[in-house]
Amino acid sequence: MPVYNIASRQPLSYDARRRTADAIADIHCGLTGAPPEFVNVIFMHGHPLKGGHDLNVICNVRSGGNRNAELTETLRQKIREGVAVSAGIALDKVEATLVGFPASWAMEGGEILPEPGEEDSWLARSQG
Amino acid sequence: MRKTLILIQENQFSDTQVALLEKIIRNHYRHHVSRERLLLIWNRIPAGQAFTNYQDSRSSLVTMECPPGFPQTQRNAVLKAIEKDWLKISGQHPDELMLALVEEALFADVFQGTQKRLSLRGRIAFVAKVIRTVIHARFKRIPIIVNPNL
Repeated sequence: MPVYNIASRQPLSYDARRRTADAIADIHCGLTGAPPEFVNVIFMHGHPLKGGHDLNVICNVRSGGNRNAELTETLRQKIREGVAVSAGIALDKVEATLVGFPASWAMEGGEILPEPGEEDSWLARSQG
Repeated sequence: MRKTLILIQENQFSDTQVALLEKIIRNHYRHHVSRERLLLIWNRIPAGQAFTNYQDSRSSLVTMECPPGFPQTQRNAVLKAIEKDWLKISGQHPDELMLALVEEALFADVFQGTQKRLSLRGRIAFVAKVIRTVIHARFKRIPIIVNPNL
């Protein structure tokens, strides 16, 4: 986690998908401090989206810890902008939604995920 | 009926491995979580459509539904039990597996979110595809495996 689930009307090229996934990892990790090892981005196409959108992003992110409502909204906006640029789609045709998960409900690398902001000690423990 | 959503990568597991993985999830879920019926839906992601840590992904993501107020110690136990058996069958590194046991309200947000973003035509196409896949799987007695592209 996070898991970014991206649906588009038309298929994106492999290069565009790669560019978009890299942009998401840069934005997510830059804003939240989360390690990129956690960032999953999945693409699917052929989805007729409502509201005339060409691309929709739903992201499951850890909630709580050092993440307040302001940071979460900034993340949503930056992801929307970054995806629009890297996928080459107009901003008003891109929608993004974030869904908050309690970290303790998920396990990765054999360990329950850390609260946001406590990743360093978690990584040291799980890799030690 | 409870639900489980699983994302795996194309060409990563054989049909036999998927059947074994489904069996261990059902067994551990029944033992640790609930004896309710469990619907498992596998999303097999085509090559080049998933990325983890700036690379083409080799990760599997398992999201299971549980009742509200499910105790954390039991959650830890079921996640650990599934992880141990999953890695034995899949041969994956622990970093390539994410497991989550999510209370029903949040699970519904996740499960329905991918449908709510679709137009009416999109929702009809999505539901029709899932129904076709479920009927095929029930008839053949195989896991329900969906390609997420419509």
